[in-house]
Amino acid sequence: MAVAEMLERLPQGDGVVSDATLSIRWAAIAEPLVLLERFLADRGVEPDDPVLFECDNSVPGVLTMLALLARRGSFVFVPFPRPSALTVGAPSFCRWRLRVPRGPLAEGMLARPDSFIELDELDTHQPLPKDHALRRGRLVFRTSGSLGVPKLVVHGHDRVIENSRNAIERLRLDSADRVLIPVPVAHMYGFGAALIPALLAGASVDLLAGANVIRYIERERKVEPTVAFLTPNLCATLVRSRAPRAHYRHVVVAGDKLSPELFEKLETIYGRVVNLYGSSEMGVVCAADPLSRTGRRAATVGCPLPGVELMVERSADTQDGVGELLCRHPFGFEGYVGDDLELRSGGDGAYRTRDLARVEADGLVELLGRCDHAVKRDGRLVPLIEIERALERLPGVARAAAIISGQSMRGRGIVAFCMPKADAALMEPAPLRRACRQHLPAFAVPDEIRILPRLPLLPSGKLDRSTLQRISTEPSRPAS
Amino acid sequence: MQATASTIDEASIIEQLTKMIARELDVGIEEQDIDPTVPLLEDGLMLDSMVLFQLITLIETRYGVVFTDEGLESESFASLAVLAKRVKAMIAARDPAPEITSEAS
Repeated sequence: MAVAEMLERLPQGDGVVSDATLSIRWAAIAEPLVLLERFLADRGVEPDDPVLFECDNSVPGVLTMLALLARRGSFVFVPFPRPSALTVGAPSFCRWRLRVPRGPLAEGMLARPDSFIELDELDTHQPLPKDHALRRGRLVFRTSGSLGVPKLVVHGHDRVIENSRNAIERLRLDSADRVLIPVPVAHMYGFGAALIPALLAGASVDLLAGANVIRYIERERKVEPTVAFLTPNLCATLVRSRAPRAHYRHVVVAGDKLSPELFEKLETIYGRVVNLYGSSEMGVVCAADPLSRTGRRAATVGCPLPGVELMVERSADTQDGVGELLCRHPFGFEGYVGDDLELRSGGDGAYRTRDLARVEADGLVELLGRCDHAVKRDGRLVPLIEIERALERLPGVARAAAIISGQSMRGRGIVAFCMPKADAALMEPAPLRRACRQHLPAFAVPDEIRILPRLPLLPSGKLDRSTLQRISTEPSRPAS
Repeated sequence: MQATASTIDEASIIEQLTKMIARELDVGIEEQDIDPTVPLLEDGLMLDSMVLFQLITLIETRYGVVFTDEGLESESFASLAVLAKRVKAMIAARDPAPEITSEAS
């Protein structure tokens, strides 16, 4: 009973969970959890009623999440929607929508769940059969859907907690740590890699909602974290000319690649950078060892976690050991749930990550982008990330993005977009294209290079490839 | 050309920051829709994390100033009016002797 065990363990540490306004010692957590349980029961939320739980990073949000875990209720866990975001409908199997917005928070409110919870019965609800698996003990994440339609990824409570427990040792978390979490706890990264491992380790946790450079630095000053969980985008805003912060042991980064330059700058400020790889389906898969000083630490995501088996599926057209990464995880997801409410398993065999990877001789795993972000040229597979890395090594290029567009003599066409550094001299596509030949085989050199003052990003901070795709079919204009 | 403390007032900084947000940041907000008293983050102009970072960088480049870690506070970004005051103070700190007349800008 991993959940029960986790909740029993919590009060024994002397850790604290805090946000901008509130803080509570783990030793004092039982009382608000009992009040939350009573609130849910009083309002008619049955333990087998699935809940859509919209939650920001806050103490009330995390307590409510723990209460849902404690009663073994199924819930779809999503960040509190931003006013600007497109509204995504509630899954039909959810009977209730439970919202914990980020504020305003006030001392004493933890004693009154009705002061921070908004509860609505959903009129879209279609009751599940009594014995349906989704009724009890499931935690469902909604994937970001950056590659199309969002998916609902179903985990069993106990396994997803074990997934986090499996990461504690690699991340070297312990009860003396102060862990700053500016990434959403309603996503797998914030939940499974950051929050739950920190709680299980008995560490103190500080939750930051609506992270930006100002809020982060303010909170960092107050909390003096030993560990923080970041995204590459947040990192890019944090490497301003800052003095090293000695209180950090390391920062964990996941979600997208860091440029070697950014990695190096981060290490001068935060001590160590730990690259982590995982997914909504598999939880934490790989993470670098914070103490390791060998290997290509900037380019790789460390070795697989204990019990996790990785295989690279090679095919005739891949070279250098590159292929799709397949993963067997002892604590992976149960399956996806679609409109028909069937719980479809992700397959009995190894899970296809759709990520391209290569495993080095020392077991370190190098991620080379999504399988969809690779192109056959002269009969050979070129991961677009290799082109992007080559361009980013050229002087003056801050960030590069390559996409597949049109046709060329070598196969599908490649168009690359380069964003110049703020202080770079005026940049021309032709010399850039010549220069990247130093770093790329001829078949991988982009057919066209365009200069953009900024690369388009999605609200999640990831590259907006569909906008680039559209731009690539428009006639090129000289950069302004 | 960088502004100096003696040649720039808060009203012109507000005007310049307004133009900066409308023309140089990718936010789709028109100049006439920017009220200097409206918050820059939530409940106001809703500048997201990357845009906020760009704004900070633009201000640093344009005025030749640097926000220290201590200077990056939510209060300074409460509104354009507050931010302009802060920028003016940073320009003054950069030019410790504002009485010395610089070239006209």
